[in-house]
Amino acid sequence: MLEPASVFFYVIGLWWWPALYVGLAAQSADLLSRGFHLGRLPLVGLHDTLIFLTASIVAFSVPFYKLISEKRLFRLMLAGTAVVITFAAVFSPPHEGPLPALLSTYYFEFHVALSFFSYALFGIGAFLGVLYLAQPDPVIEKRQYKAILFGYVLFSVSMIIGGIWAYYAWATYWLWTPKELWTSILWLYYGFYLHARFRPFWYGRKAAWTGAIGFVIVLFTYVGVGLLMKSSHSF
Amino acid sequence: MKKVWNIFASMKTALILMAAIAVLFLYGSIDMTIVPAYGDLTFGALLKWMINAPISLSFWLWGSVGLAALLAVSTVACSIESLKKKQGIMLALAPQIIHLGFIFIIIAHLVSSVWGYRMEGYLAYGQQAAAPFAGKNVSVEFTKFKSEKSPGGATIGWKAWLSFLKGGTIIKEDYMAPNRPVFFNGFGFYLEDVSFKPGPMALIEVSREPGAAWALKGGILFVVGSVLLLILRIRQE
Repeated sequence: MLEPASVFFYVIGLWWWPALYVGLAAQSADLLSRGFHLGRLPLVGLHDTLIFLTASIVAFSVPFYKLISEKRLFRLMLAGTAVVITFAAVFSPPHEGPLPALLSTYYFEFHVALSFFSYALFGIGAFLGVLYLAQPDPVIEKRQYKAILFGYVLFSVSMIIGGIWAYYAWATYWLWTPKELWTSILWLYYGFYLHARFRPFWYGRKAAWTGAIGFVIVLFTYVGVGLLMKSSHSF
Repeated sequence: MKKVWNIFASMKTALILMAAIAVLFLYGSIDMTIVPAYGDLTFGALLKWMINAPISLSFWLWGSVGLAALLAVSTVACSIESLKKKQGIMLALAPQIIHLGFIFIIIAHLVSSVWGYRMEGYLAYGQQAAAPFAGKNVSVEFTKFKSEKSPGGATIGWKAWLSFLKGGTIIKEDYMAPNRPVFFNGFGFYLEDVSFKPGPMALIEVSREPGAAWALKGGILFVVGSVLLLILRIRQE
């Protein structure tokens, strides 16, 4: 019931910002109730992680929304993304039952939660990049840089925690599978962005484009690799 | 010499190297999905696999290693040049801490790819096997087993006890469980699986990851530098 409600409020959010708060509240309540039901953070499988990603994007957007002047386009991108991702979650079967023994560790929960927080910030970086391309205001570009830098820090912490966990679970901190390669591609890509932005040649529209396109790589690393490639993180 | 140094100290070089590694990884991820021969890539030291694999399979890994080495040199050169510039000490230091962390992570991969060790095998209940410590004459025995059940009665985990013996005397005793290996003499003993036919047996993986400590230190430096940079950038505004 809470999932369709959150889709409904996110749709209203396309026109009216406060509805996004209601959608977020519904989604948070959904996550909490599933968490209590399962006795763990609901972070396994496409259904739960899609909902977690949407809630993270909307929650992290709040401070950015308050700081930017061009609110309409930002709201449309944010609400549109929230609707599409939550809609996809509704049609993905949730993972029920106890966790496999290897996933029953705080390392797993921190690793996944931080990954999705970073994905959310990369998503906001993409929205801000599009916003800058529509309205080239240097303030928006700075916000994009900060969203991506913050996301990059969380992503790096998530990778380190994942490495520690893998060392205890799989006898190595690094597995040579497509997921790890795409994680590295993502890490290199945003590392590229964070460096290139300081070059006069790249600053401005090119940097905004780079930051925006990064979210496509994020989505492929998250969904595409899990569905299309043989990896350690398959759905 | 100055010209070569300038090339390595240029951010443009670093950017090209990052992009090139990403492209090779992209190729590798697709090839891995198509070609089954990558199955044993994770199982063992990377360098050994790369030497034994046909070049048509391993070229992107050789290329990535080469480019990562160049990127490490470029990182050091960029850091040295950056420190020469006059700017706030913390703002100058934060990226260098990140760079140092990155170098440590590269070293970690290098060390593990050359000196890493992995093998696995079944050990039956009560059976002894030679531990892979060269010249130590230590054997390992699977001595006890316990399954863990959920309140509903489903098996949710296992514990398998190992004893390390030297000259018939137990020198260490501990249990393995999922996410809980036993470490001894620089090696990790991991419980991979258990089976009960024809009798209780534990599938044990023995691993040595000499780069793990470097990777951890590198990771911590990387994060400390990144957090510092983030705080400084926020305060700058």
